[in-house]
Amino acid sequence: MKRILYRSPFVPPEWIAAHGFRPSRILPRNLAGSGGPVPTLQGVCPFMRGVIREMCSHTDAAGIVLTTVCDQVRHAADLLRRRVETPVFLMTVPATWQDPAPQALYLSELKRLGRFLVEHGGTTPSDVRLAEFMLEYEKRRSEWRGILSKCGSKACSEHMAAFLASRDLPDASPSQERQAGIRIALLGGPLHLDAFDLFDMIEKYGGTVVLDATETGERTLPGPFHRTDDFHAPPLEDLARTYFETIPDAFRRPNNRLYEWMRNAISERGIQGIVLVRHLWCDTWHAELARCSDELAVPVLDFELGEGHTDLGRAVRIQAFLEVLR
Amino acid sequence: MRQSPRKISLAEWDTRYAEMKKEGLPEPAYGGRLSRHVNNGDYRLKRLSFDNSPASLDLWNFLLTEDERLHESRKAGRKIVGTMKDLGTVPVMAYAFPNITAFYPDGAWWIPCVMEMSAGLLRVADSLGVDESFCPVRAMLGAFVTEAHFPIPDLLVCSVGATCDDFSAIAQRLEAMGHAIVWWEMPHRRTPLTGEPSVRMPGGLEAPVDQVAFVRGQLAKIRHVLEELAGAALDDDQLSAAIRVANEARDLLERLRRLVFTAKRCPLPATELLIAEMLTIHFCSDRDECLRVLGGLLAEVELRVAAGEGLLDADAARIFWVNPVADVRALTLFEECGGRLCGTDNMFLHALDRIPSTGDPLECLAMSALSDPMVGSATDRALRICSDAKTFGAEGIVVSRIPGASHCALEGTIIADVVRSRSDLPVVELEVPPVSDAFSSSLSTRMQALVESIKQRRRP
Ligand code: SF4
Ligand code: SF4
Repeated sequence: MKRILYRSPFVPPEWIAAHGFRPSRILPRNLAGSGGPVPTLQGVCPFMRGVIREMCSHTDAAGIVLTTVCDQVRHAADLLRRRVETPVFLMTVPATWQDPAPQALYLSELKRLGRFLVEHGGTTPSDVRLAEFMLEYEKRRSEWRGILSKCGSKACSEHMAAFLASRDLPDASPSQERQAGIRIALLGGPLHLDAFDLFDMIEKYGGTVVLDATETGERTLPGPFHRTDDFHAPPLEDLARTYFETIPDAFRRPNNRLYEWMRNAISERGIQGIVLVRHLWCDTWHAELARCSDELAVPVLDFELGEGHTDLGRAVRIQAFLEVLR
Repeated sequence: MRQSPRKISLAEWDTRYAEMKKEGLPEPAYGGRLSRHVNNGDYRLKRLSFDNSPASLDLWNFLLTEDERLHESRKAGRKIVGTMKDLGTVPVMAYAFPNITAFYPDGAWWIPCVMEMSAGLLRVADSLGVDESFCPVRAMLGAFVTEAHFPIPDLLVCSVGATCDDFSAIAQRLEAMGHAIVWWEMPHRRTPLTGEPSVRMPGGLEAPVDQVAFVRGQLAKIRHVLEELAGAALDDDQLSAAIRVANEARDLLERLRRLVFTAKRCPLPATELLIAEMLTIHFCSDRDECLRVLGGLLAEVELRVAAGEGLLDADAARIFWVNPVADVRALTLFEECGGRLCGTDNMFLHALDRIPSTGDPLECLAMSALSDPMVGSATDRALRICSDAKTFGAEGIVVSRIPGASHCALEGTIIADVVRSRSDLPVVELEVPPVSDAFSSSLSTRMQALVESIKQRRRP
């Protein structure tokens, strides 16, 4: 089955799968090195570069889906169209949400994505077929939430990454019990695969990640569908509404839902400190740092995943942060 | 009073001003000696050179007194609207209300340059967690905190979506600091699908009808918010009339640009042209006066062109300039290196192009907004640059990067790519910080290299 590569949590994999493709969420393993169509330039987000480079290495893919949630990705889509033959679809994900028009725009963008998929070899799904995929993904998401309560955030995020990359379930479900320790939330942009060692680093110094609110973690799991048991109304509308309304993110305007969501999580999970993970040159998350410190009633550590910090430097920062929280 | 065109220093302007006063120079209320602005902190003026015409004096004085004008508007009971990011759309509508003055807080972009960092705005932005990894527009945060520049607006509206991350992030920070913002969505302009109903936009691009309708809906929301603030409804006739006035300004500017870019000898320095372009975005907070200032400048340039007069070397290299410079001194340097402007894309060409004026006025405004070069693909933008460069006879292109701007690195790469594939024009990329003195030798080297390569190519 041909793959469609995507990255953003605002691209519903159910919709791609229902068109007969294998949706594959791309997370690069590491961000070092050059190559790929996006040049290594000052000002370019290394995560985005890594994603695009990884996408380009999958020459068998039927298409690439990117979103407008960030300026750099928008321009990367343009560059990509000029440099590779794989068809590229740039989907508008509105930043605003307070009036009905942006949500209607999101729905129409999903429909346009559907046409793109059909043009490139997919088949238009019936409502029943789409509903089946929605139920399947819904089931996965509730499994992940189960893993989360038992085994912790790293296990859940890894399981998610593996499944979303291939639609294959990893061989074994995680079983390791969550470790006790200072209760930490990760918040921020996406983690590349090598950055998952951040969970271990936090454990090593006496913490435990009880919430992965990075873009690759639990925060971006859409909430339950409204009619998972009764798909008489068009399921695409439910899909659009759920993805559009229930994923809190820093790029939304206004983005107060992100803060409401975080405040709830902090009190529900007894979070003692936040590690704000951001990539170099990512304005969206960088600008939230000071506000997180002002508004979320727990200490916040700025954790930049960029060339500017060594592994040792990062470890020292985590260690010092956890010492302060002790 | 008229002299042949020449670039003069601030001190020379003082002498000239005194002479012109003796000769009975008619002056607007905001007129006066240019050097007085240095006493208000605009230290950069001392490092610039200026066009010597009375029309340019008005232009500079008009620009540099905008904050005073805004404070006077507030005192006079007018409502102040801070329109953010769309550059050229919402103010057209806002000025249709007799009791609203609109301006761009984004204009604080230039304060660190003009005041040579003395205002401390970037330090305030730093303290709010918005450091130099963001573009100079972060100075806006400082201006809101210090309240030492523009008055705090009665209403803030901001376009987001297909805008830069810098501005969107900074505006969100501003809202979190307690400045309520009405957000409106600007979708990424896309190429219509095969068979999809589309419309031709200002600037010549096509956009899907659905996208125009969407933006129209967003602008209708803003119209409603403005009506509530003004306490009066805005009907289509009033909006159409406002579009006509905006087009008057755009027509003046179009004629000015064309003359400046195509005249045999350069009739106006690059800095004065940049200011003229900026005025049209929001009329520099006084629509009638803006028309008068632009008209005066155009008349001067027409006289110069008719008389075959110019300022720079007759063989100056004709260069298309992409993106505004964070330090206006860089344009003076550019001319000292032997360049002259022959086309510009300062990121707001949609604010210079005529707004469509037939049919539903809100839809016309939506089309204008959607033709913003920054909301579409960089390839679209680059194609327009190629076409304008050809029209104006440019011999080379400067892509000027803005430090910290999220769009610049990739956009610059794409623009250079497209230009190189569509033309044989040499392209130089450079970065201009808000105060560029420390970089002037490397900037000069790059500009001179471009000028020399252009002159070599002219040789038979
Ligand atoms: S990490 Fe930030 S800059 Fe990078 S792709 Fe994501 S949103 Fe864009
Ligand atoms: S200069 Fe660029 S990054 Fe800065 S506000 Fe303007 S468009 Fe945005």
